[in-house]
Amino acid sequence: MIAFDPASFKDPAGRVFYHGEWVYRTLSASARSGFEDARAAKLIDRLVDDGLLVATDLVPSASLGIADPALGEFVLKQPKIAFVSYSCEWSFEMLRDAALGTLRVIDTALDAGFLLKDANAFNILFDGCHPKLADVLSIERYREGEVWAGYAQFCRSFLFPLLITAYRGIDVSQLLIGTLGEVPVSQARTLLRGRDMLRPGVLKDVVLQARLERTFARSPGTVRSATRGQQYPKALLTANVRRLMRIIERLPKASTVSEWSAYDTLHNYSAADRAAKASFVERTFTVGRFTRVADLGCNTGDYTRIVANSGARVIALDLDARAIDTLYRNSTGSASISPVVASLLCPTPAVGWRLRERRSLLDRMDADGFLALALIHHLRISGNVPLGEIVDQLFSIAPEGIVEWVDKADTQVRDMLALRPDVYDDYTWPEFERLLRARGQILAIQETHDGARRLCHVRSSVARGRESAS
Amino acid sequence: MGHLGADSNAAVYSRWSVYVRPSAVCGLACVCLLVVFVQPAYAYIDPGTGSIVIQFVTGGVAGVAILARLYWRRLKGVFKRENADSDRDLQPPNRPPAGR
Repeated sequence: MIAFDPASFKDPAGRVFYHGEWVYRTLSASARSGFEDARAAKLIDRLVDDGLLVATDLVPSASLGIADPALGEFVLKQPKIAFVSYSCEWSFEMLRDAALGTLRVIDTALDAGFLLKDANAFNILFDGCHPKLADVLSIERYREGEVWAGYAQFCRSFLFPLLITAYRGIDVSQLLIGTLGEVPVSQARTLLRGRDMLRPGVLKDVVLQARLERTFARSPGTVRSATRGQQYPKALLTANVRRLMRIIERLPKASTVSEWSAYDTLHNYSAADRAAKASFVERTFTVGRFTRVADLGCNTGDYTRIVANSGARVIALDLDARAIDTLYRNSTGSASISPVVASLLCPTPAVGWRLRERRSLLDRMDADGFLALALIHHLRISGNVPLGEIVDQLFSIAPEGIVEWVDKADTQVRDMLALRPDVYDDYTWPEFERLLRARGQILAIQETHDGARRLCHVRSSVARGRESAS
Repeated sequence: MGHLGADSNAAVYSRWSVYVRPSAVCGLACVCLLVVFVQPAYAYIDPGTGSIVIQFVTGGVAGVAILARLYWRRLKGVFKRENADSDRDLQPPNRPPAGR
């Protein structure tokens, strides 16, 4: 019996399952002929060559060696994307690129006589730093005169979150978690106001759409009869797609300086400390030693790149979307760095149908190494998480890695404690060392910052399990 | 539940108005109110209607004609509803229980 991906129940065209290192999709009869048409029109090859679509093959089910009637005669086969992130974990520039990728797919598809039947952000996966369409069954033959059925979903998944972030500076990630990646038009309308009305895309795609939606949402029959027989010219559809492309391309960049992305310039680390840190990371993450490393609190990615150079895939996680924006733009073309905007204090939960539709961030990490530089004082002092819990969480993310001890003598910690009572009696090096040794080994230690920081290469002595992931 | 509550309140409000002053002017005022202060939309009803209309509307002349047709039908529909409501509302209105 095949175990289908719990998120793939919505589209009757096919279901997703995993086998070996590959992702497969079953195909309904119409989906199969649709795919064969798209392949014959060279659309699939064109999209894959342009880096817009995950490489996809049609293979006989018999080649899998699984006997299950649910598979049908043929299935679609795609390489597995190593780490799947959701749109609520993307920075502004990532969301912008995913939106543009979707529009480029539609533009190319229309040219070949096809269209995407839906346009949600879960159809796009980041292969490292490349956004690609994964849901190939979304490609359908375009019927002359039809409107773009996915337009409203495109707005909810991409355009509205982008406009709200660009024009209002609101972090929409919480909204995207709670709405399965789609900001409703009524919410976008409430959030965008005043001078936003004059900005591209707001009046037409938000205000007018919200107004029409409010007015006609309860009269689909009236809308159907009023538009019956009306042909929507393909040229208009293409023009609408390109108009959205222009709006999104021209959206102002989110400010590139934030507390964290300016961390390097704001904090006067000595060149010797930086070099010692880089060299310790390089020595620990030697070539081929780790396959998948979680860089927890990666900032703009200086050490992420060192780990990536060892050949490991790096899940680069930071709570600051602007730091991730900088990392993402600096890593253009990287297939091995997967940027994620998330906080360990409040990681993305499992959401959707039966809480199985979209998996929690901790469940998706599946790392064999971790890097936790300049992180622990934030978890302990800002987050009030006990030290033992922090060590447990690190070892449940991966059994081995580097954790940096940041002592109370460090200027950063002194600043953090300047305005609050020091109730962190356990926050001492001897206690941290004891906790590490109780749960594993310290393989190497390097002091930096005149002894105020210690880089520790640690390994868990407990067989890997998720029971302590709390 | 929020949706149902809002819906029934609006209906009661319009019935109440018609009962107190059953004149054509008042009926027209109710129609205008209904058209202007439309109820909030809920995605589960039909998320696509607004987006279909907007694509036609922003598409040019044919869209304007469709929009005119839609609003005309809507207006006619509201008049029909109002007439039906005023027939029923010859009885004094009952205030709905709080929170419903």
